[in-house]
Amino acid sequence: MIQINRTNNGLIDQTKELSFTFNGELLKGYEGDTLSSALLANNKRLVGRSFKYHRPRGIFTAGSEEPNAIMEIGLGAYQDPNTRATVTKLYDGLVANSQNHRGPLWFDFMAITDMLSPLLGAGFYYKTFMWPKAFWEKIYEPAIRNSAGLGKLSKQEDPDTYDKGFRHCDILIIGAGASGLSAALVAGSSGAEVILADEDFLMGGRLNSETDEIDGIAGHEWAKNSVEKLKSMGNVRLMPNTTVFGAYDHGIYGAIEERSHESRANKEKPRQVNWRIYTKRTILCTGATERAIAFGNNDRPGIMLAGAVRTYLNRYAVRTGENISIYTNNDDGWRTARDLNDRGVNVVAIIDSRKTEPVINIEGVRVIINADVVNTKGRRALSSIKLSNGATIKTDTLAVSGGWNPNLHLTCHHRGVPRYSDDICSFVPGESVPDGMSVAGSANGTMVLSKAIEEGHNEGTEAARGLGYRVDYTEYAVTPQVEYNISAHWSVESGSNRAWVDLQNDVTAKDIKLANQEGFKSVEHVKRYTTLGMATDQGKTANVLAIGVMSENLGRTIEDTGTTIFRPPYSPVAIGAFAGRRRAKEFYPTRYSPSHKWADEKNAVFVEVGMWYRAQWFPEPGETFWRDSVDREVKQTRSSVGVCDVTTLGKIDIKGSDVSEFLNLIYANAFAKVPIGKTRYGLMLREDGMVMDDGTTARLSENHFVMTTTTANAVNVYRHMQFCHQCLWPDLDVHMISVTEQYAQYAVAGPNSRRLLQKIVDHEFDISNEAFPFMGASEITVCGGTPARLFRISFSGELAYEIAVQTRYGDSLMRAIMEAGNEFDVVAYGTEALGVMRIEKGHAAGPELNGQTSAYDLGMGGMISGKKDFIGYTLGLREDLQRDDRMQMVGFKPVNEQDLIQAGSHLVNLENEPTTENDQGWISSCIYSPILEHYIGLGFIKSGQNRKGDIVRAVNLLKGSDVKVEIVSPHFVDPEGERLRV
Amino acid sequence: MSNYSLTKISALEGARHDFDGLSLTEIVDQSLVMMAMPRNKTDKITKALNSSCGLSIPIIGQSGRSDDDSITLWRLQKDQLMVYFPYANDDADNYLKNKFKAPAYYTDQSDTWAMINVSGEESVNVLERICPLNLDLRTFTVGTVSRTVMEHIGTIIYREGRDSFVILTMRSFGISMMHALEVSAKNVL
Repeated sequence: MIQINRTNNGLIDQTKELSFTFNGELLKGYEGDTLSSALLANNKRLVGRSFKYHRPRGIFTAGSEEPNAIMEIGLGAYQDPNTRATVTKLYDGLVANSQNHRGPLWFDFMAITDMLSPLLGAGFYYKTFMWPKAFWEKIYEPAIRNSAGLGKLSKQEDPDTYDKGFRHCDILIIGAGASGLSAALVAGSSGAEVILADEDFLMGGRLNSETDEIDGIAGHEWAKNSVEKLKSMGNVRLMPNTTVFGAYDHGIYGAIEERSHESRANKEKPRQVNWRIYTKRTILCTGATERAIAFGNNDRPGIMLAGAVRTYLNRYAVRTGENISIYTNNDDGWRTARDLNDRGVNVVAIIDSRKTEPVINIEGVRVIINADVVNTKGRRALSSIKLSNGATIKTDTLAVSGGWNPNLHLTCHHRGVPRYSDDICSFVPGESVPDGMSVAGSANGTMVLSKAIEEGHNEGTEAARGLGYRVDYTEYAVTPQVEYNISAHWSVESGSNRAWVDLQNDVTAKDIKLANQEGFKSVEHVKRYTTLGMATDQGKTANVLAIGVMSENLGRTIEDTGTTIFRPPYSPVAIGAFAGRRRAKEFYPTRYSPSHKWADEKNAVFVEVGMWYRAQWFPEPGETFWRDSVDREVKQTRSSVGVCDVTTLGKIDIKGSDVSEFLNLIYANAFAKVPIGKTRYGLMLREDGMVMDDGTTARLSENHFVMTTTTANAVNVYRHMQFCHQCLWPDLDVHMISVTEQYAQYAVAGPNSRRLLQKIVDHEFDISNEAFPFMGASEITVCGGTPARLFRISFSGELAYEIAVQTRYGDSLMRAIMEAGNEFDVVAYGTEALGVMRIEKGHAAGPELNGQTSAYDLGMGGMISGKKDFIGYTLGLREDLQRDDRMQMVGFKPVNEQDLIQAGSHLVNLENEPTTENDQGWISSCIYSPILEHYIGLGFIKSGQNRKGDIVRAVNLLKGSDVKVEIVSPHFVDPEGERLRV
Repeated sequence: MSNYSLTKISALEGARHDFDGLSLTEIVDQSLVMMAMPRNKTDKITKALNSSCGLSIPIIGQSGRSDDDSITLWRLQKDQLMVYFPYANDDADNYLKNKFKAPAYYTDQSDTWAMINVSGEESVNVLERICPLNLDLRTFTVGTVSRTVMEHIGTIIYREGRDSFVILTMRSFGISMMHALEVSAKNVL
């Protein structure tokens, strides 16, 4: 429980103690700690096992690039695997467990794989598990996956919630280090809308890890003051804890705000928020990531990046060891020795691979120039290092610096290619970056702090001025200029010892060499062959080092060796964060019809039709099977009266002096002379002559029409009409608007429908057959003066009406109709009964209007007007569409009336086998007809309209069905249409 | 006359949800009418609107108010105006036709939409979770109106005050939209 590695000061609050557990052990940390800093404070050096060889691994970095310290955080369903301890803000009650080991962390049974490593080189499974072929999927792959892997999933539904949001700005600054803050200060002062985002919960970047002075005060103090100043600007929004993970088109950036610490305290709150940020300019100030040098056994716990050692010391007040050595190829590594020495931590030695004078004179520290570390010892943690000069040094921490790599990933998200800079021995952004983006500071390869601040200021100024803002703020912060000199040094000849390049994927310099020897010359191929640069860290500490090793192997320049492609996300994003709220019933919104509440009270079974919830049927007591209800609803409607909510059908009000002309152009049948008070069935074709939709259009007055569409095509038809008006005939005086939701509309069908409606319609309106015949339309009043529309149209084939009132009265009208219909035993019917009756009547619907059928195919060729032009006319005349042997819609009934016809069955002649070659057509819709008391179907068969009476086979191989069916008229009930005209 | 009578209910049955710094309230006392401008009638309509109540036709994306502030015009497209005004009877289109005496086509849209007022100092913070538009006061000024999509739902948003918005979604989506706003409020506040 004692934090033995904790020192004084730091940027944490040592008055606020937090408790957490690691592998079940209760530990303490402080407010402001990360999980990794708290573990190191508690001297937890071994924190995990490696991916392939199960080697002991310790914390390697202090940031999002961490390859080793990945944990399972949380318990049960809340368990989140592969979480980087270095970016996990410590909170009270945090539960962390190491992963990828069998048995305790300190004694992993799977460590035996390390002894087998000579057999397990790069691509070993591609070469080894070749035979027998069938074993790969069932034996080899499961076994390999079981032994090599990262964290485990809880296999429970993720109970966390996630959210998303949209933010906008003029200038997005990514990274709140020295250059980012400098850019934000000047951009913010111009009045531009600025968003400053940083993945860290404490803004300041490396300034929080270093001891540089800016404007005469400590760098972290300057950062803190700058943040306060930015907070006071109304036009600057700060987004700490937010990783900008991707650059997308048109100035859109994806960003994840991490709020786990908050959601653990209040589980109602989202754990992460996925922001879509829209910006006009972007300044990338993402800093740089340190890399290591590949030398023998360079992966032991206690071997860390030198900059991370400084971060733990200066920011978190944690010394990472008692006797620390530094191994570097650049000036920056020396700062680690200086800072440690200044804080009284014993620095054993500085080893610089370069032939150089000491960069900093540090009293009492052994300096070894022009030497390398070639090997290390220590079973579960570092105990000593061996140098190329033969010396052995006892040390418990080795701080390694191989140089710094600019974090230029987002510059490549639009396929930009970075270029190599000899000055910093790393890649810098190329010329092609996403539109509107500029780069500043060490992300741009500017490793000298004073210049990075200046660069940030200049980019901030330029971005603001480019957007028309006035910039008066010309001063920028000053800091002593500290040079950054480096000599490229990728790997050390380490004999038989393995030198690790990618710690997360257990890829060594030898693996890369082997891949190169086996012919993998492209960096992309080497990546896939060795798994280099994959998984949660995406090779942030490994990629450049590996490219350096490759270039040495292949005798190429680094520029010629090239890089892999950086794609979003920059760092891991939970799938849940992409899903956001869209889970389970909230996957998409729900539409409720006006009678929904009433139907729910009647225990209706609902079905999702698009986004609509529609009543499918209304079970009555004693009905145990859905067809009991549907058969009853059909029979009662056909024998007396039934009511169905048809509000979901599209309704479009069309007004204007040219509407007749317009309708005549968009419908295949004639519409120029529809009388006022009449409705006409309309068939709408696509430009290619295929049927697009059907419906009715009523003329309510000289310049006022109302059109209905199918539910599914309501939007498509409206969009099509807008296109036709706006693009084809803009001079026509036509104005349309959807009134689908303005009116609740109910079909009232059956021989008693008129008698029922006569109780609802105000008596001054005569709806007798003489006064209001079939296809009549009128604006009337109901129930004592409520405005309504009445249409005498029928989908069921019965005497029927559709009555519409303003939706505010929809619920009430349904109740009134049902009450008024009591004396007729009125029944409410749902979409199933609706479907049964339309098939009995032979009306085509969705399965028949499938985008491949012409009017002729549907038996409606007679409706096509030959006296006018209309959408679909010209292409509808194509010879192929006129052929007699096309698939034509007909009805089918089973020869044996006990047989069940399956929708989707294919039709073949009796003597033929059911093969593709013999296919004659298919059954598109099929139901049990309670009126005919057997199954019936609609479908398409070659030359169908001339084959009535023929017997064919309806075969459904998937359902094992093969029945003989007779080709009949599609109009099974009342083919002459007498019932709907009475 | 029929012996039955009908009772009206609003899309959300008058729902209201209060949070610290935010209120979500169904608007039940306003009507909405679409006014389409026939070909070659714009001048006459402009004059009629002005003489009847001091309205002028705003540019697309903006709104205008009558002399007494009671009637608001939203301009969302070329040949159409949406008229938002306090009226609770069933003949909103005829009422406006008589009031404006402008030679336009009037179509009642009051029941087409569920109307929700989002008000309070936290409005923008809550709306930014679902609204893709930039609601910064300098960009989306008071009086701005726009069509957009929120939570897959076609929506009209109108800023009637610094911290007050009117959200319109198709009536059938009303419950889903109110739910989305509530979830946003709970996530943010």
